[in-house]
Amino acid sequence: MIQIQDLSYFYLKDKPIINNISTSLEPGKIYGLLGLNGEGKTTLLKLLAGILFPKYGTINLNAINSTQRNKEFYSRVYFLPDQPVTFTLTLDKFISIYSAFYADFSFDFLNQALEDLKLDRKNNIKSLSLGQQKKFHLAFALAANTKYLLLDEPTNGLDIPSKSIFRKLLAKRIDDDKTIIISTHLVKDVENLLDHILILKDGQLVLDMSSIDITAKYKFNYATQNIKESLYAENSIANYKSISDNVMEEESSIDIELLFNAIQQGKL
Amino acid sequence: MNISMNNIMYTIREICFGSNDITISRILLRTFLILLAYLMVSNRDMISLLTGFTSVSSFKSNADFLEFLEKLKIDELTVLVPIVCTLTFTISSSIYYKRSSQLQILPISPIEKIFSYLVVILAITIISLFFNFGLQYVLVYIIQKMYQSEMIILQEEIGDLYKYLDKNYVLSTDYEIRISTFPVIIISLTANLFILVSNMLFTKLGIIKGILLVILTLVAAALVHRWIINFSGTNISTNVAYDIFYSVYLPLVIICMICCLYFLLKQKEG
Repeated sequence: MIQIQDLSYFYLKDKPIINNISTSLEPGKIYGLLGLNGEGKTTLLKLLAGILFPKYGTINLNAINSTQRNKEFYSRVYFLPDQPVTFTLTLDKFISIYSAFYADFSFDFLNQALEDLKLDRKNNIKSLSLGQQKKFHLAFALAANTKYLLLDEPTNGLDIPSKSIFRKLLAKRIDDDKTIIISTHLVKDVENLLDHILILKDGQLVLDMSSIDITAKYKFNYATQNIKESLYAENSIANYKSISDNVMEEESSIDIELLFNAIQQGKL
Repeated sequence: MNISMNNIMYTIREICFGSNDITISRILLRTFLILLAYLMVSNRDMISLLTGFTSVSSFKSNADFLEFLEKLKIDELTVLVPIVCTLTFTISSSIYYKRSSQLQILPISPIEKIFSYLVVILAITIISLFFNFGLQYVLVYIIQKMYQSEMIILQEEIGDLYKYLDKNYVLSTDYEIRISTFPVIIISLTANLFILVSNMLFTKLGIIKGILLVILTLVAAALVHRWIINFSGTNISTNVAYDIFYSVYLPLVIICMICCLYFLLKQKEG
C-alpha cells in the first residue's frame, strides 16, 4: 500500500505544485492520475518514485519511506517517464543488462509482449522510432513485475493498435499485489482499465474515488436533450452527454473525459 | 548493510555496457593513440628513429650520432594512464550524464554503486597500465634491436669499450621501463571520482551550492596540507613530500569523495 500523508511540494514556496494531499493507494488496482498540463502529475510520480523528496509530508510504500532511496525500495518500484532514455543498445542487450536487477522479471511476458508489439529484439533501440521505443520500454516496465508501477503518459506516441495491445498487456499484469498508477491526459486510451481516479487541480487531489463509487454517485447520461437536473452537460454533434446525481442508483458507464471536464469547471 | 555480489556484478555490467560504452578494445585503442600522440609531441627523436627518418646520415659525424643514441630517453609514459581512464570514463558516459529517471531508480544500493564504480575505474586503469607497459616494452625492444649493436660499434670505433650507460637511457643494457603503479592508480581514482562527485554535486545541489561546497573543500584541503607541512617541519624532503602526497593526501581526498558520493546518491535527483 502507498500512503501519502500531508504531501506538499514546490519549487517556489508561494507556488505550490502539490499542496498538502493525503491518500492511500491500495494494491490490486490501476489508478488513473489525471490533471491538466503542469498540474503536477509527473512531479507526484517522481515523488512516489523517490526521485524528488517531499517538502512537507511523507510517502510510504509498504512502510518504506520514499526518501530512503534504498535497494529494497527500488526493487519494488518501476517508474517509466514520458520520454524514456534512448540507448545505443539492441533490445536484447538492454533486456539482458537491466532485467538482472528485477528478481521477478518475466521473460515469458516480455517475449509475448515484444511479439504482440512487433518489435525485433535484434534492433538497436536508437534506430527505433520514438513510438517503438516507447512500446519497448512499456513492455519492459510491465515485465519487470514490480509491486508499484508508475507510468507517465504511457500511451503518448503509440499508434492505435499498440494502444489496444498495451491495454491488454496491462490488464494481464495487474494482480492483487500490484499497484499501477497511470498519469495521462489521453484518458480514452485507458478509460476502461482504471479502478480508481485521482484528479489533480491547483495542487490538490480534487477527486480521489474508485470507479465503482463514481458510478454509484453519478449517472452518466447520453441523450438527445439535455437533462434538466444534470450537474454538468456537454453538447456533442448528435447528443448531450451529462452527469447527474445517481439518485435512482442506476448503472451507467463512466465517461472519464466528461468527469474530468466537469471537475475542471468546478461543477462536481 | 545489504550488499550483494550479484548486484555489484550487474551494476558493473550496467556501467560498462548499459549507461556507458566501456570495452577493453576501446581502452586499448585509447591507450595506444594517447601514447602515440604523446611520443609524437614530446619524443620525436624516438619516432624518427623508428620510422628511419633519423639515421647516421642525418648527423654531421658518427660521434654526433653516437651522442644522440647514448642520450636517447623516454619520458615516464605510465603517467598517461589516468588520462586514458578519465577519457574513457567521460567520453563513454553520455547517457549517465543525461541522468535518465530510468537509471536513477535501478535497485542498486549506494554502496554497491560506489564499489562498482571503483572496480570499473581500477579495471580501466590496470588494463591501460598493462597495455601501456607492453607498448613501452615493444618500443624499447625494437629500438634496442635496431640501434644497440650499432651504438656499441660506434663506441668501439672511438675506443669506448665496455662503456656503461645509465639505466635511464633507452639503449642501456640495464634499461628499466619506469612504471609508477601506485601513483597512477591513486591519480586515476582521484580524477574519476572527482568527475563523478562534481557531476552529481552540480546536478543535485545546483551550481551555487555546488561551487560553495567545492570552495569549502579546497579550503579544508589547503588547511590539512598546511597542517601536514607544519607537522612534518619545514625541512621536508622532496621524497617525503612525494610520499605524503600519494600515500596520505590523495587517499584522504579519495575517502572524502567516496563519502560525498554516498550521501549524494542518497539525495533526491535534481
